[in-house]
Amino acid sequence: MGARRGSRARLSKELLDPSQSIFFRTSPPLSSKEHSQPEMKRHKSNKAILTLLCLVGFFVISTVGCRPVSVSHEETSHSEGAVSGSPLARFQALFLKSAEPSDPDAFKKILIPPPFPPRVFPCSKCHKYMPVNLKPRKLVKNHAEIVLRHRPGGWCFDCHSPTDRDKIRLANGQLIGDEFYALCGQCHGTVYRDFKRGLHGKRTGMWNGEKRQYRCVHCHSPHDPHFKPLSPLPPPVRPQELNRE
Amino acid sequence: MDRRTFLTGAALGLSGAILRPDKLLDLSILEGFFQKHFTEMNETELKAMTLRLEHNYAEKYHQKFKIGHEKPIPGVVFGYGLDLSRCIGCRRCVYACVQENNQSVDPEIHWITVLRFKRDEKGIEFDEGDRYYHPDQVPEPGYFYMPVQCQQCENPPCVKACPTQATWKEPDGIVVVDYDWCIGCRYCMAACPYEARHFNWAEPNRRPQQFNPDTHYLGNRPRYKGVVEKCTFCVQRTRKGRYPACVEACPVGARKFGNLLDPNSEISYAIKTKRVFRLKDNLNTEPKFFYFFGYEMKD
Ligand code: HEC
Ligand code: HEC
Ligand code: HEC
Ligand code: HEC
Repeated sequence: MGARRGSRARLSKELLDPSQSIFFRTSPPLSSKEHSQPEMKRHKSNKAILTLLCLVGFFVISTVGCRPVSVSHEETSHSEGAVSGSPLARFQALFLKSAEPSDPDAFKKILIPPPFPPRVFPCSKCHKYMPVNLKPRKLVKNHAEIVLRHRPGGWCFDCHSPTDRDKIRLANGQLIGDEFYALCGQCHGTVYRDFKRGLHGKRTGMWNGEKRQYRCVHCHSPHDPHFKPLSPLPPPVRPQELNRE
Repeated sequence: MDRRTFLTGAALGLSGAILRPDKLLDLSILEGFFQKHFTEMNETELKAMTLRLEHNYAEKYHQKFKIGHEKPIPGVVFGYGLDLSRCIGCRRCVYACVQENNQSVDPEIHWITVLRFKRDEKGIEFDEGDRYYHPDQVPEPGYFYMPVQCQQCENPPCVKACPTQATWKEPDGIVVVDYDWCIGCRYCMAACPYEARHFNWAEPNRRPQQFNPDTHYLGNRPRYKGVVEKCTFCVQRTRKGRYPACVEACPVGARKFGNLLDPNSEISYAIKTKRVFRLKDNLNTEPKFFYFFGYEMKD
């Protein structure tokens, strides 16, 4: 048991040395000190027994023939020295073989239907009878709730077609249906690239099978795209509040 | 009676007292004590053991449980990515995890701790991590948030610290605990540099019949008083191909999960294309939990 205690002391010295600790410095680790006294007493008195138990445990285990096993490290680990460099570089070199690009359009098949706001009747119902007004202005007669907080200096017809009022329009004049990601992708190339690979945005379902992917407009309003704040769920209970049995 | 009380009994027995034969005669209890190590059991033994446990749990919690023992999927090593430039600190992940993994609600155990850091010109002030923040709304300007959970180290110090082989690293990289082998010495907790292991000071306490019944032997089955528990990347879900509960819960899509050996997985793509870092990399624990910045942060 002496050896085990020794190795434990070494471990904790290395690992819990505050000068080694990147964080957790001001919020101290949940140490036994923070638990209630009676609880601690009980555990202290248990300590001697526990120490004995470890020995007896080994004895019992080995005598009844259940060899303690160390689970194969070999499957996932690698020969040291094969690749040098920082641990991370080594890890990356070993784990990441060259990635061949997957079908670039694969993401389209897994998109969740877009969340259309309830629309009473098509845009053209009104706009058929109205001249196109290209002048950026504050809208009052209708759409007063739409305030653009997106591209500085942008206006409705960056995205909405002035000729087909029911449609969204790409920069090259092409009209699109639900594929708003193509619209967003024109100006947000890097985000769009990551989105196609499931990195920006969110996928749910199976990591190795059928997935569903959220669209840009699930998370960003095209008119005011900044992600809306949420109220956080409650913080954890502080250790001193945990003292009940 | 659990393994620990049995061992106490055995210890007393060895130190002079005579084991009471009437106790020994109850074979169903003994079956549990002389159980082989999980990794050494064959399919029949595993089935028998999980059946026995399902029966015990049903009696104890008045709820039906399914205890799976799905094996690692060959050719899979799990990795996790967390995009710090998206995380808004809303703690949806924390509670989705509790819901999925049957942690005790009172006393409270959370496997995910979200730390809030001040952001300033000097960079990250790691000294000022605060886990108790509770503003009306998040994100708060000038702060960023960093959820911390088990980092599933390739080189796990907790495993080395365990005197009873009750915790080990599976071939798919998940570090698991066998709650029937854990004696509660908490050496692993002292060894973990990430505070990712948690001790059951009491029996798990949730509202009646509010356990998630879909469990794994090495994962979210109800724990006993006096054992250590930790994040298992939702082994009960991920070994069946599903995303972990925290990934599903994250409203901003900051959490990425997948197979590190598949170059097309989301996590591999993140590691390839983003600047990633790992917590306390200098300790050589080789976490398989990667933090990254999806884009450069601005204020
Ligand atoms: C109930 C009738 C009505 C409907 C339906 C309607 N609009 Fe409008 N829209 C108006 C009015 C009226 C204005 C002028 C507002 C102002 O000038 O204050 C306007 C202005 C606009 C403008 C500003 C440019 C311009 O030509 O004046 C855009 C762009 C626009 N609407 C888009 C849409 C879209 C897209 C839809 C469908 C989703 C839609 N509208 C549906 C009545 C309507
Ligand atoms: C960055 C591109 C973009 C700009 C700029 C833009 N829109 Fe939109 N708008 C969209 C997209 C995408 C949709 C979603 C299409 C849909 O729901 O059919 C949409 C939907 C709408 C809708 C119907 C849904 C809703 O939110 O009520 C109206 C009305 C609308 N836009 C009006 C306007 C007006 C008025 C302006 C200018 C003040 C404007 N849009 C500027 C992209 C844009
Ligand atoms: C015509 C080009 C253009 C299109 C099309 C466009 N954006 Fe933008 N977007 C911009 C620009 C420019 C900014 C930068 C604004 C800034 O930095 O203040 C921006 C900013 C943003 C932001 C950051 C907002 C913030 O305050 O954090 C988001 C999110 C965003 N866009 C989402 C979208 C989505 C979703 C779409 C598609 C519906 C879209 N954009 C379409 C040009 C565009
Ligand atoms: C699951 C939700 C989600 C989806 C889906 C999503 N985003 Fe975002 N996006 C966010 C969050 C959260 C941020 C960070 C907060 C912010 O800036 O609004 C963000 C930031 C951005 C930004 C500004 C910061 C940057 O990275 O430059 C842009 C631009 C953007 N998103 C565009 C898009 C586009 C385009 C799509 C679709 C192709 C998309 N987003 C899909 C959640 C989402």
